[in-house]
Amino acid sequence: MSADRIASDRPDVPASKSASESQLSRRNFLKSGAALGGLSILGTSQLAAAIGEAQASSGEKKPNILIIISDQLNIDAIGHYSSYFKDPAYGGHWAKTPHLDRLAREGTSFIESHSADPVCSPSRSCMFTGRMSIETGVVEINIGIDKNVPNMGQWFEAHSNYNRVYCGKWHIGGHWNYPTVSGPRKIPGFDTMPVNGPAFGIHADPQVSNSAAAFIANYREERPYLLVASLMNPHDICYWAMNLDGHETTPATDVNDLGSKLPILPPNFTFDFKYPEGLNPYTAFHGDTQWGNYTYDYYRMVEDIDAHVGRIMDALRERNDDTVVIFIADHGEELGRHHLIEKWHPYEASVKVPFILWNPKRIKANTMNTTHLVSNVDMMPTLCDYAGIAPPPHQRGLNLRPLIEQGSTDPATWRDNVYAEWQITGRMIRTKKYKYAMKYKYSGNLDKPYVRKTDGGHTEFIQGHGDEYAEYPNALLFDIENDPWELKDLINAPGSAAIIEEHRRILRAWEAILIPGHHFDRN
Amino acid sequence: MKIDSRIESQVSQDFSLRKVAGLLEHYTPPPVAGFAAAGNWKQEYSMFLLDPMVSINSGAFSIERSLKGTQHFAMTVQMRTYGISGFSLFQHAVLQCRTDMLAAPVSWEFETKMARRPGDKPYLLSGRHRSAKVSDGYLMIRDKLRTSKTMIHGPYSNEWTLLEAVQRLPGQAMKKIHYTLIDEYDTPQPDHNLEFRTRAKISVANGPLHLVGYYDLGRAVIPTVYWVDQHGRLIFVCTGLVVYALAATNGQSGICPERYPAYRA
Repeated sequence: MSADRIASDRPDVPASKSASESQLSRRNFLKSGAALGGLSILGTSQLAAAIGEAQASSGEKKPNILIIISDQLNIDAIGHYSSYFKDPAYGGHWAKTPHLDRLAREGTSFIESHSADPVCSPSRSCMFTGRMSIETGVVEINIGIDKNVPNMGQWFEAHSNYNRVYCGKWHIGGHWNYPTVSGPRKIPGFDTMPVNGPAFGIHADPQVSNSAAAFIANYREERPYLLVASLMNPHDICYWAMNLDGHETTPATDVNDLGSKLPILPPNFTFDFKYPEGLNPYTAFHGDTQWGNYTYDYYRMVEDIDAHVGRIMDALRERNDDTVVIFIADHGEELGRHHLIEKWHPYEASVKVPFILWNPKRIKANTMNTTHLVSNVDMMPTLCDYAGIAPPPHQRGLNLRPLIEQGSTDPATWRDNVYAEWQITGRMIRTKKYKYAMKYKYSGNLDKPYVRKTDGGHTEFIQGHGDEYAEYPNALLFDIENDPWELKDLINAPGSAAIIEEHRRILRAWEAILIPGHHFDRN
Repeated sequence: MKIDSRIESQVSQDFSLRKVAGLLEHYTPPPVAGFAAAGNWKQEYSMFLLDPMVSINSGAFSIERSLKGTQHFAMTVQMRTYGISGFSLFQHAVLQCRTDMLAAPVSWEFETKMARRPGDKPYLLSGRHRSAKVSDGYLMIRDKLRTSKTMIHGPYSNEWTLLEAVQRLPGQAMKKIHYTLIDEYDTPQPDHNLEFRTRAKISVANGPLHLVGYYDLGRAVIPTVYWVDQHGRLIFVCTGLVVYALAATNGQSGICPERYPAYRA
């Protein structure tokens, strides 16, 4: 009994044919995404430059911008992507997401979409600055962005006339989640919709969706808005596994007879390689049923945020304004994959995020891009371009407009790799075929987290000096193209040495351009 | 902090009672005050979020039932959930419902806003008033400019009118009901099943409560147990990280703390 929503008098938008994305021409492996990321964001595409300049010079009204964020949402939990994520263990076979499905059908989605640092505060710092977490200084949770790195609200405030409102979870100012309307916990550059307080999605998300939908429905100003609706779920699943001293009774111990509704375990629930440093199997759940209950409850939260997305989008569709919508997550959830829960790992479940862009007047509809590597740092330069403003300096993301605009053809060049950080000193390089992940030794000192090989001293990361820092053994190498469940670690496989060497060269190229920052907490 | 063995034995009857274990020592349900499930009444509830260490009050709501003949009643819902900086989300709805097993709403008006006080203007354009009705297999929601239509098949309820409906269910005699739950006031969530779960006897400050538990599984909802007492009143709703506890009946209050310790094994 699925529900089909009919907007009674919404103009018909002709659906594009399903796009089969063209293969990029083979490029020198050393012409990496690092090099592309260091350029001005418009330098990668003449089309993007032409669009931006034409808008700026014509005085054309800029579109509204709506960013909807979900916390800890797996890309494969969106039902529309079941045609790509075919294995029955993937989430789209267990969760019903009609509103997200519709958003994806009406817009462009990226399947090879990555978090730049797959845990809340670091990832969000990357999304809202276009910089890597080592540059924002937000290398772990509950700390704030370097005061010299502008966030999106600050940048739009200084360079545009956008009306900027933030509604929901922020979590990149210090040890707090939700911004106040004034004082040190107000986000610089944004007005605050005063939702929530305690960090529970079940409490906050109705406030977010109702308030954001009302804001959209009521907006009458001439100037465009930049509205962020930051939903917290399915992050509530973290409370299922909270184990402070072993005596807590969480919803993970609730007894539910789910029968055939109990999700199956993933193929990589057990596997045959060593974890990298800092990862350990989650052993507090007893038996497959408890894992299944955890997963079942997670997918109910996914369905809940789908409803919240629908509420917001229904309000938007009723207006028929020119609005660019981005739906994105900060990171995923392991759900027992590699016998793990939660996030902040280099594995696919943690690091892959949904990334949907929507605007019926501008952006291709019904397009599932399965070939281009993208990152959530791409959000900043893309939205700056829509707003007709140059992005902040040192952008590490790319402008996605050449890939998504109606009538556009794929650019001649695109990045060959995506870079991400994890667990403060971890690094991941994802190329088209492979994923390489390693971790520098962590000193235990957040402000000087690296350990010099020479004398064991602790240090900040000095730009381009990665070779000087001690590393943990147990790096990872996966052939993602043929092994999407990451079952077979190739790090010691015959013939892998050259592949590892190439990926480390790409890593060093990234590290050579990144400008380390320092966290600044607004408490 | 462990609770005493008396409560320990009570909560062992069903997992959902663990969520109110820490409340029971300090909780007194309100006087019955002439409550009759099929009549006119007003119930007020405290809402709690279950942190691993302590359950914290997150807001309150009331549901008020007024008969409109023998086949229909009106339900008025007022809810407040706490926001930040002294603001709250206020929701107000009036639903015209059938007196069927699921209290199916036929038409309703609903409004929401973020504000500091109930009578304040909405903050930052957050106020919205809409109306809805179910007719000819469609849920139609009307905003200022447009009406949206969503198909809705078979038996249905709303998350608030369901709180009324469970108070009139026949206990163990009921058959499982397959239905659509309208989330908030505007989003149908199909594939719900409501059925009798179990009976339980617990002791609170002013004596025993004989409870009947009903169990809801379905789309977008963590499994939920509704506990109804021997007077037909919905006393507790327990789901995931959330508890609702009855605080007043027909204007007469019981004792319901603002916070209580979490159950710890």
